[in-house]
Amino acid sequence: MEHQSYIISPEHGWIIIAGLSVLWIGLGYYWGRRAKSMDGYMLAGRRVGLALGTATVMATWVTSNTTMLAPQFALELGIWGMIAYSTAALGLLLFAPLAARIRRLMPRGYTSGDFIRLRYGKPAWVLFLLISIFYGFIWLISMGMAGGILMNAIAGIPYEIGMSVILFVCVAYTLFGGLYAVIGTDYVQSVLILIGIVIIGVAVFQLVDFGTVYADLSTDKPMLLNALLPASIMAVFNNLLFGVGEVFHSNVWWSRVFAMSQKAGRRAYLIGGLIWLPVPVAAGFIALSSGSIGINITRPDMVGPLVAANVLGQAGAIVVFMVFFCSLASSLDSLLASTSDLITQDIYKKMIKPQASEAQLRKASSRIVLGLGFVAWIVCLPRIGTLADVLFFAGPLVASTIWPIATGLFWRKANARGAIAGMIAGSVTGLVFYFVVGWYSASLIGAATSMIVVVLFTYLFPGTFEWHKLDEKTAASNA
Amino acid sequence: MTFPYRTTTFSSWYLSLVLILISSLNLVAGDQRPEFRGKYELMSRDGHVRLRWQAVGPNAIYELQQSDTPAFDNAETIYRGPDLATFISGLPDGVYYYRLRMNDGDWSEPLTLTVKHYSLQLALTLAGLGAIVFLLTVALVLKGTPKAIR
Repeated sequence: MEHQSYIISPEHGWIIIAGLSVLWIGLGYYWGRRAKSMDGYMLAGRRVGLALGTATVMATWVTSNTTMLAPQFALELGIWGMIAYSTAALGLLLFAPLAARIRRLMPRGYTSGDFIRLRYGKPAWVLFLLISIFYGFIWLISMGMAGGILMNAIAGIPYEIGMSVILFVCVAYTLFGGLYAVIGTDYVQSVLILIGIVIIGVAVFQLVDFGTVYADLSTDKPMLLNALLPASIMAVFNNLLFGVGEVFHSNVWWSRVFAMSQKAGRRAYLIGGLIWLPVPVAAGFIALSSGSIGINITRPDMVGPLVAANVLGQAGAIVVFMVFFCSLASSLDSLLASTSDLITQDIYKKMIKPQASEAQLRKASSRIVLGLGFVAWIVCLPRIGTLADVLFFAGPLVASTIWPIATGLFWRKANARGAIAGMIAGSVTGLVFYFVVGWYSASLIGAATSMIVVVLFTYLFPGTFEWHKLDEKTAASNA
Repeated sequence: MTFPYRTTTFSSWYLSLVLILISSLNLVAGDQRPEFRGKYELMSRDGHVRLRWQAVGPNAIYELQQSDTPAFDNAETIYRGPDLATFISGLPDGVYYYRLRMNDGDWSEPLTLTVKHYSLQLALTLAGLGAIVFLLTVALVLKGTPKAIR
C-alpha cells in the first residue's frame, strides 16, 4: 500500500459499508418484488416518469469516473482537463433528441443491439455486440477497481476486500430487483450524491483561497494553467467524442429510453445532462487545490477523494466515503443490469434459445448478472493500471459507433456496409493512435475515421430503409 | 589454564560476534538508502510522472527532492512523509532530477525525468479535426430533431 496515511479508521469504513450495503440490498429486494414480468425486470415496466428518469440518468453518469477521473484530468491536464471532462455532459444532451426518436421508432424495443440488428442486419449486429459488451465489461472493471482503490485510500481497507464487497453488494441487489431496483436505488443515490457534492464544494470553497491556489499552481505546476498545453488540447475533443460514443451506443442509456415514456426520456436526458455538467468542474477544482492544501497524492485517480476527505476532516470524510460509495454503486448496478440485458436478449434469446419462456429468460438473466460479477471480480483482483488507462482503451471502439448509430436513426440511405466498415476502420485507426500517440487522440481519430467511412459508403451505396421495420413486434403481428 | 584460556577465547569470540552484529546492524541502518521502483531514466510527453519507491522499514519518513541540475543545486523538497509514492504534474519541457532519503539518511541514486510535450501543431490539428467531427454530429442530430420529436 503506497498511501500510508488514512483518513478514517477501517472500523468506521466497515460500519459505513455495512450500513449502505444493507440499505441497497434491502431496497433492491423491496423494489424487485414488482418485477413480475421480463418487461418489469429488464425495463421497470416501461413506465418510469421524469423525476425518476432524470435521477437515474444523473446518478448513472456520476460514476466513479466523474468523482475520481475528473479530478485526475484536472491534476494531469490542468484547466483544459476540467473542461475536457465536463464535455461528457454533451453526450447526454445530444442523446435527448435520439431518445425521443428511438422511443418513437421502437416502442417495444429492449436493447441497443435490437436497433443495430433490425437496422443493419446480423454481421453489423455481431460486431456491435462485441464492441458494446467489451466496453461494458471494461467500464465494469474500472468501477470494481475504483471501489477497491477508494476504500483502501480512505479507510485502509485492503484493495481486494473493498473491491469484492462492492461488487458483491451490487450483484446482489441487481439480481433481486433488475431495473426496478437499479432505478430506485439510483434515485436515493443521486440525492445522497448531490447533498454530498454540495457539502464538499462549500467546505472546499470556504477553506481554500482561489488566489493561493492560482499562485501555487503558477509556481509548482505552471503547465496546468497553460492554455496551450498540447496533451490537454487534444484531450478536449477526444473526451467529448468518447462521451458521445459511450452514451450513443451503450445499452445502459438505451434501456432507460425504453423504460421511460417518449416525453420523459427526452427531458430526463436534457435535465440530467445539465445537472451533471458542473460536477466535473467542481471535482476538478478540488484536485487543483491539492498542492495548496499540502496533500501528497500517491495515485492521480485518488486525488478527488483524498483532498475532499482531508479538507472535511473525520466527520466529513464519512460524507465523502458515502458519496463515492453511492456513485460507484449507481453505475455498477446499471452496468450489470444493462450488460446482462444485452447478453440475455441479443445472445441468449436471439442466437441460442429463440423459444425461451419468460421464466427461462429471467433465470438466464440472473445467471448472467452473477457471471458478469464473478468475471469482473477475477479481472479486478490484480490492479491493472490507473482508471484512465483501463477506460480509455475502449474509447476508439465506442467512438466508432457514433455515426453508424446517428445516421441509422435519421438517414434512410445509411447502410450496413457503411456501418460495419465505419466501426472496423474507426476502431483500428483509433487503437493505432492509442498506442502511437496516446489515449488523448484515440477516440477522436476513431470517431473521425468512422464518420468519413459512413458518409462515403452512404454516398456510394445508398440504402432505402423503411423505418417501420424497427418496430419488430408490430411488424411481426402484421405479418 | 586451559579453562581461563578457553573462557577468554569464547568471550572474545562472543564479543566479536556481538560487535560484528551490532556493526552490521549499524551498517544496514546507515546504508538503508531507499530506492525508486522501476526505471531511473523516465520520459514524459504530458508533463506528469508518478514516482514510487521501496519501503525500507517501519516508521520511515521519506524525503523527496527535485532539482533541475544533476548536482542538485537549489534542490527543492517536494515531499516529506510516510507514503511510498507521489504524483507530480504540470512540468514544462526540461530535464528534472529526483533523489530520495529516509529519516535524514543517505540520498538514493538520482532519477532523471525528461519532459518533452507533444508538438502544439499536432495537438491543434487533432483538436481541429475533433471540432469538425463534433459540429457535424451536432448538425446531424439537430437536423433530425424535428423528425425525432414529431
